[in-house]
Amino acid sequence: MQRFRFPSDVPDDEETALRHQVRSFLQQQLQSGGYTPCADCWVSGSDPAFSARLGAQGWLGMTWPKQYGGQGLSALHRLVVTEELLAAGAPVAAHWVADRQTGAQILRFGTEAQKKEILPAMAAGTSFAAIGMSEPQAGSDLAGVITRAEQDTNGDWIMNGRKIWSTGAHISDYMIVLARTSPPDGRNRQVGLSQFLVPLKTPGIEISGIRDLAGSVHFNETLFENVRLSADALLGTEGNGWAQCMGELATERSGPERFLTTFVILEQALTVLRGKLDHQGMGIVGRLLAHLSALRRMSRGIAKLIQQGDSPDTEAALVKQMGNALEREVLDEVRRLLATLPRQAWPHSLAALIDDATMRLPSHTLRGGTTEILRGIIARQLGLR
Amino acid sequence: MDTTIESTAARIFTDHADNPDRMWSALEDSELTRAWIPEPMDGAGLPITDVFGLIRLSGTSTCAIPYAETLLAGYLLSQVGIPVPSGAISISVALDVVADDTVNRDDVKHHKTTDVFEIPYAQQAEHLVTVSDSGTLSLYSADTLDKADLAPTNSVGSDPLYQVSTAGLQSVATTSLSDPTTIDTINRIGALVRSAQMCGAMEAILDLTLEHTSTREQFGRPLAKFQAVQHLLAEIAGEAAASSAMIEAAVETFEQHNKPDLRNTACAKARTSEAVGIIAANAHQAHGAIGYTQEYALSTYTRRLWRWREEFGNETQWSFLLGSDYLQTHAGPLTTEFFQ
Repeated sequence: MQRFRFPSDVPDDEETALRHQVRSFLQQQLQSGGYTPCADCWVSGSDPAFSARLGAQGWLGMTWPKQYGGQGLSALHRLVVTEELLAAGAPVAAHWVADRQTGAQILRFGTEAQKKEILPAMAAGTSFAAIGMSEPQAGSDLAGVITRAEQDTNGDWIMNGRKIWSTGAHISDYMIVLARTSPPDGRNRQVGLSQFLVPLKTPGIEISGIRDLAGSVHFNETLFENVRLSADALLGTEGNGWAQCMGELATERSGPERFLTTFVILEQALTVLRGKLDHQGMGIVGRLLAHLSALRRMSRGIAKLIQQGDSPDTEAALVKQMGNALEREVLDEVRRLLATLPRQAWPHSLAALIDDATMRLPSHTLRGGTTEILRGIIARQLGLR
Repeated sequence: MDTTIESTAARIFTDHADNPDRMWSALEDSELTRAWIPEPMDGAGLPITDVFGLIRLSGTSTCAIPYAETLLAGYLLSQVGIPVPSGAISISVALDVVADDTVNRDDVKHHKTTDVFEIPYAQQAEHLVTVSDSGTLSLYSADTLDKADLAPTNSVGSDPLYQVSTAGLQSVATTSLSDPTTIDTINRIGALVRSAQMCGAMEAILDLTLEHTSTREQFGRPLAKFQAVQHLLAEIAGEAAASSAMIEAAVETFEQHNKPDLRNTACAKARTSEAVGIIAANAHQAHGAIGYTQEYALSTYTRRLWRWREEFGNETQWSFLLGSDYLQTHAGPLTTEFFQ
C-alpha cells in the first residue's frame, strides 16, 4: 500500500552510550594527533594504525558473531560507529571494505576454517580487503567480466585475468574476485560467474597502483597470471557469483558514506559562518540540514529493515543516488557561503579539505554503481520491465 | 499505523474514488472524520501516527473532499475546548510562519487584523474555522454565510477555493491564541498535515507515472524502456521516499511529545515542498500531453501539490527557520546537534 516506509529510528540507550564513546575516542584521537580529518575519508583516508586502534575498541566487524572476533551487535550499532567516524572525517579507508562487505560475504559463504582464520584479523583491524569486480573492459557492464577460473584435475582453481579500480588492494590481504567459471547461457551473461576469496599473497598476482585525479595512489590494477587457488577459494556456489555480487552491492549502497563525505566541511565551515549569515544564507544552511536529516532517516530506516531480514534494495539505491547529489551540493553551497568571509577567517584546515573534496567528487557518482546504472535499477525494481 | 484502520481507510479511498459524497459518508460512518478528536469530546481519539497515516492516504485520492481540513479543524477546536460540530469543517489559518522581520511577534496585536480568508471548500463545508493573523480562532456555521460573503477564487490548487469575508458574521465560538508558542504549534501542525497530504499525492503520482510509462508505447516500445524516462522515474521515487522518511520522523516526534518540534517539522515541510517542483516537472515530462489535460488525474495531484507546498510555509521559510534555529540558538557542533 504505502510504497516507502522507514521504520522509527529512535536510538536505544546502548546505541546512545556507544555514540558518546566513539565521539570521545575521536575527540581524544584528534587532540593527540591520532588523525587529521579528511574529506571522502572512507576511500582516501587510509591509516592501518588507526584501523587497528578502532579494532582494539571492538568497533570493526561489530555485527559478526563473537566466535569470529565480532561483537554480535546489530546493524544499528555499526551504523552509529560508521556515522561518527565519517562525520569526523576519520581515516577509515584501510578497513572499510573488509568491515562493510567482505567480512559479511565470508561469514555468509566462507568455510569454517576461513571464518576462523580471516574474520578475527579483520575485526582487529589488522587484515584488509579489496573489491575485485571491475575490469578494464567491464565497468558498468559488469557481466562482461572476462577473468576466468578453471578447475584442474586436483580440484584447484587456476585464475587468469585483470581487475581494476580496486581501492586499497596494495595494502590488502584478500580480494573477492568475480570471475567466469563457465560460458554464458546464450545472451545471458549473468550465468556462469562465480566469486572467489583470493589471498593476495598468492604467487602470480601482481598489484600496481594507479594515480587518481588528485595524484594519490589508492586504487589499483591487479593482474592474475595462472594463479593457483585451493578448492575452498570458491566462495558460495559455483555459477551463483552474479547474485552474490548483487547482494554485496545492495548492502554497500545505503550507508552513511554515500551522503556524509563532505559533512566535515559543512561542520567546520559553520563554526565560522555562525553569526555572519543573512536570512538567505541561514536558509541555505537550513536546506542542507533538511536534506541531511531526510537521508539520515532513510539510511537508519534501511539498516533497521535489513536487521529485520528485509531487503530494501530500491531504497538503498535511492539513498546513494540522492546522497551523492547532496555531497556535491554541500560542497558548492559551503564554498559560496564562505566566499563572503576573508580566507584568514577560515578554520586552519578548511581550504585544504575543500580542495581535496572537490577533487574526490567526480568519483562519488561512479563507484558502487554509477548514477545512471542505479537509476535503471531503481526504475526496474519499481515495477518496470 | 494500525493495520485495521489503514485497510478500512484505504478501501474507502479506492472504492469511492469517483464519488466524493459516498466517500465522505463512508469516512463519517467509520468515525474517521472525527479521528483526531479525543474520545471525551465525541471523537475517535486515534493516536497521532494513525491520524497522519489517514491524512497521507487521503492525499492519494483525487476526490475533492475537505477531509484533512476537517481533521485539522477538529483537532484545533478540541484543543481549545470548543465542542466540535458534526459534518465537514474547513479551515483557513492566516498566521505568519516567519514573523515579519520588522515586527516583533509581541506587537502583532497592534496590526490591523484581516477578516478576509481564503478557505478551501467553503461552500461544501458545514462549518468554517478561521485563525486570523493576530491569533483569533473563530468557528462559523456555514448557514450564516450568505452568498455575498463568499466569492469563488481561482487558485493553482485544483480544489474549490473561496474568498470569505467574516466581517459582521456571528461566530459560534471564538477564542484568542495570542501566545506565540501556540501560534508556532498551529503552524507546525498545519505544515505537517500538508506534508502528509503531499506524500500521499507524490506516491499516487509515482504510481500513475509508472503505469503510464509501462503501457504507453512510442518508437515501438514502452516509454519505460528508455533510459532517459527511467531517470525521470528514479528521481520521482527518490524525492517521494525522502519526503516520506522525513514526515515519518516528524510525526513520531509529534506523537512522542504530544507537540511537533521545530527541527523535524521544518525538515519535513522544507523537504516535501522542495520535492514538489521536481516530482511535478518529471511526472508531466514523462506523461507528455495527456498529463497536461484537466481530465487526466495527474493534474489534480500536481495542482494540489503546487498549492500545498506554499501553505503553512514553503521550503524557503522552513529552511530559514531551521537554519536560524541551529545557527542562533544551538552552539554545539553539527554532529552533536544533529546525530542523536
